[in-house]
Amino acid sequence: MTDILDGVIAGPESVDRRCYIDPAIYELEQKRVFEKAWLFVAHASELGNAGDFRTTELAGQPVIAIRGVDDRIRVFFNSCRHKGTTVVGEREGTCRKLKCPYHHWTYDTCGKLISVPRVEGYGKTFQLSQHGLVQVPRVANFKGLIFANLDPDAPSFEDYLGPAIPYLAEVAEYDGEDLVTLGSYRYSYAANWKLIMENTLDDYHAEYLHDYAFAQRAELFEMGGTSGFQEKEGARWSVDLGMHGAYDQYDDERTLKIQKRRQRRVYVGIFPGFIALYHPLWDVTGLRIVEPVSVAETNVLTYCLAPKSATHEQRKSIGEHFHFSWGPGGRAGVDDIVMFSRVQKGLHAKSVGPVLINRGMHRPDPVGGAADDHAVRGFWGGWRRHMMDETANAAGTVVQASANVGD
Amino acid sequence: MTDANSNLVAARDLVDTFVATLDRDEFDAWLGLFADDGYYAVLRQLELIQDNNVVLIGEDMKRLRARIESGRERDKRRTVHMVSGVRVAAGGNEVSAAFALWYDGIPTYSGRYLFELSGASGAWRIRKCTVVLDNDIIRAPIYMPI
Repeated sequence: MTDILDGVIAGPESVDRRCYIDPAIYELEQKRVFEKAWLFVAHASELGNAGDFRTTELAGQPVIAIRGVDDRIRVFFNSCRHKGTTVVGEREGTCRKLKCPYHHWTYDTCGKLISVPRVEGYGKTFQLSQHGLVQVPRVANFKGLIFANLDPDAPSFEDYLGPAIPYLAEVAEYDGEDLVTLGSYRYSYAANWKLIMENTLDDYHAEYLHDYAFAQRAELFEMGGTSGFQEKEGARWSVDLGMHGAYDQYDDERTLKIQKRRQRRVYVGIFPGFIALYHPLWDVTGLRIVEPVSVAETNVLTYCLAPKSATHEQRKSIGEHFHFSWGPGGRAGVDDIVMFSRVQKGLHAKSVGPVLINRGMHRPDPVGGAADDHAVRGFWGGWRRHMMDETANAAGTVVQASANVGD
Repeated sequence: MTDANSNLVAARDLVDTFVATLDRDEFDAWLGLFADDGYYAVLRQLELIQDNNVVLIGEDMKRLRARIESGRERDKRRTVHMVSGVRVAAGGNEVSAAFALWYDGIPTYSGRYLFELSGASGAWRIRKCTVVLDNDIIRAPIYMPI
């Protein structure tokens, strides 16, 4: 049988343009990647009290994350057992019970069906206990990050993260302190979902695409040093984590006008579509959840987080720094979104050949310079593993991450 | 003409000038509508309620001028704004209006303008302009003010 991926190159040195523009490959990604991978659902701080809920989709299937009266966070398919209606229509909120609007079948916050109008119509054998909301097979809480997996046979979340654990742990907490969600919103861009993953793990572009933004930032916020230009400020490494990727940067103290507590910038990409980042220039912790809509349309759910102990003024300040740089109105965010559309259009020039992800390939160590493509190659290792059933990263090695953290 | 009527006429003129200067790329004139301590924000209804400052744009005049300075070179989209339902609050220094925005002929955003004003009617300056988008998903980058 011919596989649509026959002959497709997906790293480690280059990537076939079809991977970004072919609708058939996109459809295959939904089955082989998004129905099998661990996907972000919510941050625990959004579900602080019993009855707090948040809705989203996993590979196109509607789900609801909710904290039950027993204080446990569960993730259910957001679909009534009666007619399939989405039980909850809102994106977030709090409730004492979940009542389907269609025929008022009602569930408690633990998912149990507790009432059905005129239930006798279903006969004596009908049991409420057999018609509760259906849970998503696998759920994990990693330092407040709630992930779920549609595949009951998926590896544990910790096994899935593998060497990415210390990197994600570093961002998921603020210097050992819990983080809370300040706010979140969705935006969209007209290009393939993988472009923002590559973009976020590629520190090479920042100094050039965002040159004026960095210069304005330095002036407007009266920053010293070299204002975060990565080649000039302690750029250190990009790391291939086999299926995931990360890079860090050590910012000049003179640039750190906002705070002095944490100097290390860390961006972590968890395959397929999750980014966690801490940016010391702004003291901002952010999450990006990549939600494919079609081969050339993507939604991004973006979060801004703050340490739990932050004062009202500190939270305002973090929000201000977040929106100055990121998102569809932020200085750097606009640059990136515009560029995604241009890349997507340019990729249709099929005869030009594959795109390159080979910066730093001459450095065989999985840890390269900060502007190298090691983290990007990690992402493509995950893609091959899911799409091509490749059991090992083509780079051949997985870095022992612990050696690089905390120095 | 009553005070209420003259305020409404002045408010309609202000809102009309606000969008006309944007659509004609007369950004210096647009900036001139703001007070020296003016502030410009773009957000969704949810952020307005939560007051979390996780907004799309939130800038004082210095940053707003810088945005326009760089955006002039980078954002070449043509815009058309339509406004309706201009209203003046009872106190006389708050104006609101509904708007719709087309980028390059494509309807993209709609929502409300909320203006907080200083000065006398007819000589108002904008102390704060809050653009509240109806859109749940932000579907186009927002570079120049909207």
